[in-house]
Amino acid sequence: MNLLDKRSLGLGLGAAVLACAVLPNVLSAYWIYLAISAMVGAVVMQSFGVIVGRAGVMSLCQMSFAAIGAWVVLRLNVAGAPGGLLVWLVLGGLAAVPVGVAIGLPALRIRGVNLAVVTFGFAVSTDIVLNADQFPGAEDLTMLERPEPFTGDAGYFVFTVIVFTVIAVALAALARTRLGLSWYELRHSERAAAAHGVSVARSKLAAFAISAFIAGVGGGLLAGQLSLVVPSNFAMGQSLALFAVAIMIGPHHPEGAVLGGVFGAVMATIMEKAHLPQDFGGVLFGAGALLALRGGMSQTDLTRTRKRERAARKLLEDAAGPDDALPAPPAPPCAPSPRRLRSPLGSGGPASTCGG
Amino acid sequence: MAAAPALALAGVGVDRADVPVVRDVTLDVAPGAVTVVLGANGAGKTTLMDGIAGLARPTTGSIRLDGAPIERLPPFKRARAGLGYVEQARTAFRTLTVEQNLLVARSGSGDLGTVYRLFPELERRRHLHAGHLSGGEQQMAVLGRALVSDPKVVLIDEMSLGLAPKVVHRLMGTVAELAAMGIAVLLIEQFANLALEIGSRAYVLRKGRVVHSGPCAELRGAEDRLHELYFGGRLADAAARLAREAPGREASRGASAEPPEAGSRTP
Repeated sequence: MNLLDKRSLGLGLGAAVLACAVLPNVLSAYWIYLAISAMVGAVVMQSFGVIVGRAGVMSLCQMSFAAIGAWVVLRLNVAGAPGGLLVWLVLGGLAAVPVGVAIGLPALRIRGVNLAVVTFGFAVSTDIVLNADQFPGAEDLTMLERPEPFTGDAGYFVFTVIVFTVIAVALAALARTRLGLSWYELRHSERAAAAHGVSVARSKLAAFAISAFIAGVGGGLLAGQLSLVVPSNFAMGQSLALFAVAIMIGPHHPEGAVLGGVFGAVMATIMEKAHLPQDFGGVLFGAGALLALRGGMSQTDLTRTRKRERAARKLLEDAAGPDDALPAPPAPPCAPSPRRLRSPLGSGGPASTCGG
Repeated sequence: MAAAPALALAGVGVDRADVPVVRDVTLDVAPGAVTVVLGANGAGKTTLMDGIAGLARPTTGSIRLDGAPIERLPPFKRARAGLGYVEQARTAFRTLTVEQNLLVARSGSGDLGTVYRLFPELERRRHLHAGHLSGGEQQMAVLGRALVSDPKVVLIDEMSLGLAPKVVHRLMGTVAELAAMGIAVLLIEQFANLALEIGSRAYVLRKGRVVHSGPCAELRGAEDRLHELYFGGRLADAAARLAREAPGREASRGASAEPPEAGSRTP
């Protein structure tokens, strides 16, 4: 089987190249800076996409993983480690992995809101630790050096897009593997996953590890953007707000991750332009997340469901053609069971629920 | 039964929340045949299945899959050892496509060809969300999901729940086909006679114990006998009396012979 869907891959890569070619040339310096923030946010969103969007686990400590990534990147910078930012990013991500696995351990026993509380507890304690001590290089103002062709803001934007794209492609490939698919199964039913030969423990820990890695890379990117970071960049409130955005948008699809990053980045500016208090943005995110939770589906999932729905309706209309049945033998008769899916499919017409 | 059993239970007991529900069950599931487990509601059928699959932990006894003990393995290892489980209540993943529904359960080598051959309707709908399928098609996806890992033994728990009679007949045919392919099937079914028709050996559970085991032919159409086995002496008399007094209705859903006719369901 093809490891990647060629069409989406082409679309995604095309969009990335286009963004790299066009945006740095048309945007003002201020907006380029925001665009970097958006892409950094998008990478952090990808980490939410793994743990929240795919595995369906509530994690409120992604920014703590990001803080670990940023810390390691800055520490390596201060120490003058070889390899430059790209290597440090990977190391920062890897440093977050054991912590992610450790947080994943309680997730094997508890789930849902209770787990959210545990992860939030970790976010709070990371906050305390970070505030007790400054990030490396903060005292003597050692600035982080960006790698060679990407030193300017426009260049760094391209750098973030590249990192985002690499992660997106890797995640798309992963989604087709047994592990990636097992996350979707975990979200639906751990029982069923176990009955189908999925080690729930391993699959969940892998989700935590990979999402922590991506968040760590995101934190490193943030350090690269700001050159110096402060603990409040990774405050627990950030994790919470991003979680709300993740629920609302569905960052397990790449366009959702980008949207989430853009939202986070431009929200403050929009609020300012609209003469609204900054905190009001949080209210909007909260309301959106509530809507998504009520509907049970994020925005990007909804778009895809609509598409599937159209395909379903077409198939049913074809089936309800002249013969009133599918060409192949036993046409499935109408099942009398109620349909629980909230969709307009059932109210369509005579050919709404079955092919006969 | 000459062939060695694919699945052999000896003295198995399973608890639910520290209450023994299944006690001392000894049972063989032969390869290439359908073995039927019958019993009234609450007799412990589903708990027995969960115990075999490892979703509930057996407290006593041994479970052997192809001769190898599996009672201490976690559920996913039992599944990898060749145990497929179709759980009660259609558990298709509604927001995944049909194909994804099958792929999630696929182990390295398993392919979807067999499933699509058994259920051509699934292949035509493979890019649709399972939530958009009819109940019967969803159940086909769930059955298919238990087959993609190439199991030696398939446990099927009440797959006919809430399905139209026509679909139930179709699925029963497929179950018989699975047996013909050499798979050992352990079937729990509310429509006793349908199950007895395709089954070769039947076990009846009452209050968690096996109260009868024998060839399916013995029980086919023997409703009074089934009532007695389901409920024991006095209750069975009452059930039989009820059946006589109200011949149009089923005395008990558990022992009903046939699903109600399709015509009676017109909206």
